[in-house]
Amino acid sequence: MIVIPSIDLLRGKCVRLFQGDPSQVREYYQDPEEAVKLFQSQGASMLHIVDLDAALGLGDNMNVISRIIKSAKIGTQVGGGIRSIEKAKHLMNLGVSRIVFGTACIRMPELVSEASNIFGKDRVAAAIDVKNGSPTIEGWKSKLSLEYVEVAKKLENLGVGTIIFTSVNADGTLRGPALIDVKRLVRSLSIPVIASGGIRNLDDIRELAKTGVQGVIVGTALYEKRFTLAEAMSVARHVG
Amino acid sequence: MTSIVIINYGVGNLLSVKRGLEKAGAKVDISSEPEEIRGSDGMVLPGVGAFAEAKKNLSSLEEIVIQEVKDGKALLGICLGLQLLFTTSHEGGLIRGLDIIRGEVVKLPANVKIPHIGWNNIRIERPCALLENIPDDSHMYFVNSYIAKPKDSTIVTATTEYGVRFPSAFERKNIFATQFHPEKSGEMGLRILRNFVKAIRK
Repeated sequence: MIVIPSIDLLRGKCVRLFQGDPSQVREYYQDPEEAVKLFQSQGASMLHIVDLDAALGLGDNMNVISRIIKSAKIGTQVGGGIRSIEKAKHLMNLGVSRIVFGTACIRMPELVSEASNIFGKDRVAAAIDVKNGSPTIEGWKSKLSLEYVEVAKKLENLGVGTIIFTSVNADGTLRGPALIDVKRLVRSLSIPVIASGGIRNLDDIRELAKTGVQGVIVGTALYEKRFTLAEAMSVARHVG
Repeated sequence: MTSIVIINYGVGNLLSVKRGLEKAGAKVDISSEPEEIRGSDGMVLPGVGAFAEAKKNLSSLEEIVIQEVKDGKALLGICLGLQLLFTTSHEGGLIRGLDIIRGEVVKLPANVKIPHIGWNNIRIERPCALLENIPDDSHMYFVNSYIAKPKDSTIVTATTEYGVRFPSAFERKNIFATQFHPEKSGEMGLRILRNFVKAIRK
C-alpha cells in the first residue's frame, strides 16, 4: 500500500479543513512548497493536491499548483474543481500524473469517459466523498440520493482507473478512518481504491492496508506530527 | 457448478479475487485445507508481498499444489502467485520457488520507478484461452517490483513495457498466470477470470 500525503490549498496556503467545512480551517504552511519539500525528503512517491477554492467554486490555486508541479520530483494527483476537458488537459500539460474528478463524474459523466480515453485509465481518478452516509458533490454541499457503492460502480463503468474514497465526517478529525465503508467498497469494485479521511495513528494505516486498498491519503495526522511519513510508509510496506 | 479454491496462505486480501470468480459463475472457497484443494475443479494462487515470506507460508501446501497441477488441475497464478510458480527468485537473495515453470524472477530495471503500480497495457503475443476476446493493448492493473522470465518463451501469451518489455501473462496446458491483477482490472480483468472458469470446464 502506498501512503500519499495530502496538500490542501486554500487561498494559496496549505491548510486542513475539519469535515470539509471551510469555516473550520487550520493553516499549516504559508508556502505549500515547504510541505512538498518535506514530504519529498521523507520519501513520498505521490502527492495528493486539492484545490479547495476551485472545489468550492471560489476561484482557484492554479498558480501555486503549477509551481508545485514544476518543482516536484515525484508523482502528483490533483483534484478540486476540474470540470472541463480544457482544464484537465492544462493540468496534464503542466506534468500532473493523475487528475481527480469529483462533481464532474456526476454532472458530466461523458467528460470523465472522454478523459479516460484521452489520457488513459492510470491518469484519471474519481473522488467519492461520503458525508452522513451519502455521496456529496460541489464542495461537499450537495447530497446525492444514490448509495456510494452504486456511484462507485457507475464510475468504474465510465472507465476511471482509481476510486478515491473520502469519509468527509472523518476528514480532518483524527478520529479514525471509515474502515467498514472502505472494506465494502474494495469488495464491491474491480478497480483499485485509495482511502482518505480520519487517519490518526499507525494502527489505522495497518488496518487500512489489510483491507486491500491501493493507497491511503494522510493529511492532518502528518501536519499534527502524530507520526512521520517515513514511519507510515514503513508500516504500509509490511502489509498488503 | 465449477468449484475453485483460492489458496489461502496468509497473503492479504483475497475477497476481490473471490468476488471476481463468483461473478464468472464459479463456486469459490478461500482455503488452506488440503482436502478442499484436492476436491476442487481449479485452483488460484494469489499473492501480494515478498517472495521469501510467501514461499515460507506456502510450504505446507507446496506438495499438494505441485501434485494437483501434475494431475491436470487448472491453476491460475496472480502477481506474486505467478512468480512463485518459477524455479527461483532473486527477491531477497536467491530463493527457490515451486518450479512448476522453469525460469527465474528478476528485478525490474533501475531506470524506472519501483514498484510498478498502476494501469499499463498488455500486448497479446499469441492466442490463448485465458486472453480470449481480450483486445490487444488492453489496460490491466499492476503492482510489481519483479518480473518472471521463463526458459521457454513460447508459454508467454502477453507482454508489457515498463523500463523493459516483460512477460505479463503465461499459459501452458492447465497452467495459467498473470503478472497483473485481473480482479482489479475492471471489465477486461473480469473477462479473464471468466475465461479461466471456462478453461476449467473444458
